[in-house]
Formats: sequence, structure tokens, C-alpha cells
Amino acid sequence: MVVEPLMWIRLAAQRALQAATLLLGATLLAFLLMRLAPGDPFSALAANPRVRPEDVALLRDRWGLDRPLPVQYVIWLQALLQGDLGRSIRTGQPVLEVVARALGPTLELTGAAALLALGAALTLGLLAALRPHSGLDRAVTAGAYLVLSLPVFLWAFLLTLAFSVGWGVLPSAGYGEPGRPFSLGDHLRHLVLPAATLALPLAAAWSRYVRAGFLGVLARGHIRAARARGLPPAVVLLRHALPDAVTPLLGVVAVELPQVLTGAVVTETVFAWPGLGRVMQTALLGRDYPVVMGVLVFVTTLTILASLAADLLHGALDPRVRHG
Amino acid sequence: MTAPLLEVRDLQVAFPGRQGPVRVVDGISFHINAGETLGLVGQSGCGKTVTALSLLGLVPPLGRITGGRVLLRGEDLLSKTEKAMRRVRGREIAMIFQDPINALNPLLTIGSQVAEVLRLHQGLGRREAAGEAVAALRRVGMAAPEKAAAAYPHQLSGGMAQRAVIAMAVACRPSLLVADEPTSSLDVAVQAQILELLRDLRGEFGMAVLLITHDLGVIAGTCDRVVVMYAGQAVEAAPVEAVFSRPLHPYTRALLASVPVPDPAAARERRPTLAGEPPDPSRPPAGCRFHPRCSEAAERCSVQTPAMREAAPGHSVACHLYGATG
Repeated sequence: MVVEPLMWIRLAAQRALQAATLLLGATLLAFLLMRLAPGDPFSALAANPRVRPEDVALLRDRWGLDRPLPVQYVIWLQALLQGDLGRSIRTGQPVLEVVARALGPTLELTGAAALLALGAALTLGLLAALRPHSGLDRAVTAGAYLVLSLPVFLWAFLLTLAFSVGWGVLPSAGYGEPGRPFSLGDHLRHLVLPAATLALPLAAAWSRYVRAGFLGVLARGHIRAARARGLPPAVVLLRHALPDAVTPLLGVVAVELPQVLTGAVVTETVFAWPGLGRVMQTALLGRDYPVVMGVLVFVTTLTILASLAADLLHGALDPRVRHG
Repeated sequence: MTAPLLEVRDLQVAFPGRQGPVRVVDGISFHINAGETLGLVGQSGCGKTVTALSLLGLVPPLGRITGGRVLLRGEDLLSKTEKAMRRVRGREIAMIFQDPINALNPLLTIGSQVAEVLRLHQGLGRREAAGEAVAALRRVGMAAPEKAAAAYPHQLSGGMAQRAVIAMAVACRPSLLVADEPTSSLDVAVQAQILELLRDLRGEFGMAVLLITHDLGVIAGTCDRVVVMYAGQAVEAAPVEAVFSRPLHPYTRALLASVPVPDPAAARERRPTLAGEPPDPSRPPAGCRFHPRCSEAAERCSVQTPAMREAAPGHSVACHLYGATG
């Protein structure tokens, strides 16, 4: 099919404008919310009786914290437009470096969790949809609600208790065994528990979408027609039902990505995983404003890219979307 | 007389209801000879589609075939395993549906869907099947078959989509084509084209057709014989001319009387219409199921169920008006 190049340009421009607006809004909101929180990076220093107030004031002046908020935001934004995310107030390291170092482990963790969740959700959702209201369907439903009704950190502790403390088959925290050279097997063993913790609520929610998607598609005329042509069940399910059943899930996954990264803050902290989530948590506690803003810019960009990817994938899967 | 191609004997299909199973199809019997077109006519909800799906072993979820036999060349299809039935579907008995666009996968091209059937049933390779698919589309009179093969269902008109669905159905030369309201969702002009195509293909391949419709006009021009269905049961079976010239069952007569005539003078006349509604299948009336709506009902009609009996050669009816004992 020929799609007019002009349409692509218009679409791309529209998307870029949307992304820029979203990024601006998100950073502005985060900036204001962060500054509403009590304290600043030098509160602890100021509370120290052996530090002179003049020195603290000097530091605040040096970082520009005593200037009006709008001015501070505009200065930060100007730097961002030149590709400068600033330096960490706590460590003095460039924010870009801090974020870049943590990005890898986070993508690894969230990627592994998303794959685990997708596999589990597809399998369980499909099985539940094939026999609606059967014992299996009820068990999957009950399991999903149980998982969703407990907070992530509790699941983290329960899994650690079972597999690490009780059974002792998996390490309870870290990115690898300390003091030993890197080995893939050891690294993957450390990945299992945090990835599973992060995957649990995702799998629970997504399996509901998959079940509903399949139930809707299986009742459609073209599935009955495919069966009437003598196609075997595997072909009917995987070639004729699956693509139609999971397209709604694409949008959900893209929209839920920020939630996955939020979950990663808790999971990474509990499992001492050196990712963005832990960087964010430390930065928030220390009121390390440039780092918080830097992480936020990355997460927002990732979310925008994910939703763009979901739209492109939807178009690739469904010709009706492609042809508008 | 040679043995029929397909014989349905006392078929019963039930769905679970609030007060026990509901028999949507209740003891229907008919046969189709090789190369013959049989019309199955009745109001919507009388069990036509469920009967058709039963022939393919595709009763909708929760429904169950509770009795009877479906014999294809003397072989009982109902006792076949699901795996064995898959070799019957598409290869021996093919089916086309009322809404052709809905019968096509919206995410796959027409060509790939036709090719899929060819690869499955004729063991063709990928490239061979793609070429054969275009040929199959040409055979059903698709204008620009190459373009149609590359198109997606939503890019086709209803008539073109029905041609594509028919191409898939006849691609493997089935001995029976079940056509469930194949023209009901199409424009009148397109309806005629599709019916003509079905007639042509029947002549070309010598396949039998079970044509399910509520439209007596469709029956008149297409079928050899007709079975009239009412509330899950057959009430009359006869050659098509006999049904139109000498309808026996009061329900058949009422159906014929309600066919609109394209003549303003005749249309303005008050025509007898059938009063009342078909019975609730979960609580069918005792005796003849049509008796509450029948103008000629006698006392025994509400007590005794009439059996199908031959009133004239090749013309059967289930009505107490004909024959002494019922």
C-alpha cells in the first residue's frame, strides 16, 4: 500500500509536538512538586551546629537555590535544551553519567520482568479464555486478584523469604556476588527474584486483558469460519485469534510503562539493584534536584517512545489502523 | 434410487436453559442427494443455522447434539473424533456465512487466507498456493483477482467479500456446500449475482448445496427441493415447484402469502399476515407446535404431535389435515 509521504511528515510533526508538550508539562509539574517538599539539599548541613549559616547560604547561592522558582526552572530548561542535565549536588558527578550508568540495569530488569509477565499473561489468559468459568479460569482469576491486592514490596519480601531464606536457591539481593568476577549464570540468578517481583502484578493485570481479548475474538465470525474450513485449533488460536486478541494489550503495556518503572523504584531498593529506581530513591531522599529531574526526563522520554512504538506496532499488525 | 449424499436423521440439539435443556433443533430429518440444491427455509430463530453447524460438528459453545445421526455417504459424522471432523470440514463439507466480511480475518490479506485453505487441504507449497489462490479468486468471478488477493477484507465490498469466501469454500471441491443466508446482507443486485455464481459452481463441480434462507424468493430460483422448518422441526419437504404451487402445511401457506409482490395495486391490498410469534423454544406447545397460530387447528392438534408423512410422491408434510391417523 502506498502511503503519502506528506501524511507521514504531518504525523511525525504531530507526534513530536505532542512529545515536547508532554515533556514540558511533566518536568514543570515534577519541578514544582519537588520544591513543595520540605527541606533542600543542604538541610542536613544547616542542622549541623558546627557548620556556619553563612557557608550554607553560600552553597545555596552557588547552586542558585535562593533564586525565584520560575527562574530556576527556566535556567534548568535552557541547560536541558543544550543537552546539559547538570551535576549531582550530592556527588558532583554529571547527571547524564549517573543516569546512563543506571539505565542499563533498569532496562535489563524491566525488560526481563515484562517478558516474564507477557509470557505468563498470554499463557494464563489464553487457558482461562479457552474454558471460561472452569476451575482453571476461576483459579487464574483468584490468583490475579490475590497478587494485585498485596503491595509490591510485600511480594518482594515473601519471595525472598521463600526462595532465598527458606529454600536458599536464589540470592536475596545485589547485581552479582560481590568480590567475584562477573559470570552470566551468577548474574542471572540475581536477576530472578527482582524480575519476578516486578512481573507479578503486571502478569496479573495483563492476564485479565488477554482473557477478555481472547473471549471477544473467539466469539467472532471469522474464527467460526476458520474452524469451518477445517483449520486445526493451534492455527485458529495462534494465527487467527492471537493478533486480534493482543492488539488492545499493546496500548495497555505502553501506558503502563511508567507504572513498571515506579514498581522498579521499590523493587530495586529492596533487592539492591543498581538501577534508575534506586538512583531516584536516593536522589529524592537527599533532595538531589538535578538527579531527580534527570531521571524524570529519561523516564518520560522512554514512555513517549514506548507509546510511539506501540502505535507503530499496532499499525503493522492491523491493516485497518494503517489505512486509517 | 441411489443413496443420498447426506442424510440427517432425527437430529436434536439442546442448549442449557434455566429450566433444563432447551431443544433448539428437535428431531429434524432430511436428505440431500449428490449435486442437488436443497433449501432450508424458516423464520430466524427456528434452528436453521444450528442445524447447519451441527453438520460440521461446530455446535456453538454450551450447545450439545443430544440425539440423531448425520450420515455422509452412509458414514456417521457425529461419532467421528474432532480430528477426523477437521478432515471433513472444508474438504467434504464447506460452509459460507451470512456476513462475508465478518467471516474473513481482518488482519490477513484475502490471498493469504485463500492460500491457507489450499495449503491445509491440498498440501500445496507456499508459492504454489499463492498462485492457486489468485486462480481460485478468478474462478469465482472476482474482477482483478491479483488486486483482490493483496487486499484486506475491509477494502472489499460485501459482494466481493462473499466471492472471496466462496472461493475459499469451493477451493477444495467439497461435495456439499452449506450456504447460511449467503445473500441476506447484500444488495438485491449483488444477491442475484451471488446466487448465479452458486448455480454456476454447482454445475461446474457437481457439488450439492444446502441453502439456508428465510427468503422464499431466493429458494424459488435456486433450489431443487425445499424443507420448511418451524420451531426446531421440519414441517414440510417437497420439490420446489410443489411448494409454490401446492403448499400443504398451513405454516408454508402463511409464509407464501406473506411474500411481498412488486406491484403497487397488490401491495396496497390487505394481505393475510401470520398472527402471533413463534413459540419460546424452552416451552414449546404440546401437540403440533404451530397449532396456537394455525387457522385450521382442530382439537387433536393441541394433543397429538403430527409425524412427517408422504402426502404425495416426494412431498411430505407434518400436519393432521392430511392422512387419517397422523
